[in-house]
Amino acid sequence: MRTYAALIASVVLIFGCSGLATASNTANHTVTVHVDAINEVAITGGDITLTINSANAGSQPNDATNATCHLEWTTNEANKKITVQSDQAAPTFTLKVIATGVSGGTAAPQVTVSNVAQDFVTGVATTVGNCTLSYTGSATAAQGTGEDVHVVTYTLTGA
Amino acid sequence: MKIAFHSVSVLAATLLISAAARGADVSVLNGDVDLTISSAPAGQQPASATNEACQLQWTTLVVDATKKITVETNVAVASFALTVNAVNVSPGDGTSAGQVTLSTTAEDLVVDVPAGVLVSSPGTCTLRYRATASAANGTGSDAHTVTFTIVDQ
Repeated sequence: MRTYAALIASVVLIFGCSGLATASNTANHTVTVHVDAINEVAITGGDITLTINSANAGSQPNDATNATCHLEWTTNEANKKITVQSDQAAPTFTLKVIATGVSGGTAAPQVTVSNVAQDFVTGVATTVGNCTLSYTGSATAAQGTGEDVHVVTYTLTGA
Repeated sequence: MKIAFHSVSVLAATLLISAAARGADVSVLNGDVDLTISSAPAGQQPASATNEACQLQWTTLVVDATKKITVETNVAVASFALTVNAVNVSPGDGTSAGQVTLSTTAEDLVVDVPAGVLVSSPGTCTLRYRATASAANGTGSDAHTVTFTIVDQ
């Protein structure tokens, strides 16, 4: 009888204690942050026109310059550069460009814009940057009159 | 007679012990969270990522002291910044401590949690996570185990 009573008490105690397992003063979950590769470049200032319309007598026509546009970029990757090229295969007049006031990279030497991509800003890596686009249009008296319309493209690419 | 009296006595004692030992309780609803940073305006830092899919739920005993809920991560040196904020805290069940930058040190997330927040009407809030990265941080991922703990204030 005593043994039977002890057995019942033990069974009841076991079922009663099972309620202790579910409560907890802590809880957790996994929070994962992913950062993907980001490469963005943009021009501000719109389209421009360079007009060559004067010369000193006995000298070639005066160059036309423009520095109203800017280039901005963002990359979170290493070993990048920015190149520049035109869609014009054989322009009549000469168009040059150089990056001035550069942050987030190093300006390459002045480029005579062609339909071959050329270095414009180098040493771009995990940075936010910008520069001024300093254009120079030039013509000789022998080239006559007329106009070239370039679509100038800047590309953020691997170095 | 003797056997019946002995059984009732033990069952009642066990229930009391269970309730006292249970204590305040906290749980996370709706599983794990993924935040992806993948874009930036040119010339600006990457855009942050936010998530409000998960909720926190808690209860306290009627005999409890005022409680608070803390939050911490297991990641000692994260590559990217992660913050959490308890928003839309159920009225009368606590007060948000504001945005917390996660670290391995437990920080207050919800304070002034009163006694008697019952299972029938638990305290709740939405967990607003926000991840940020700079261009200089590069790419990659951090996997945090974020732990919430309810303790005496």
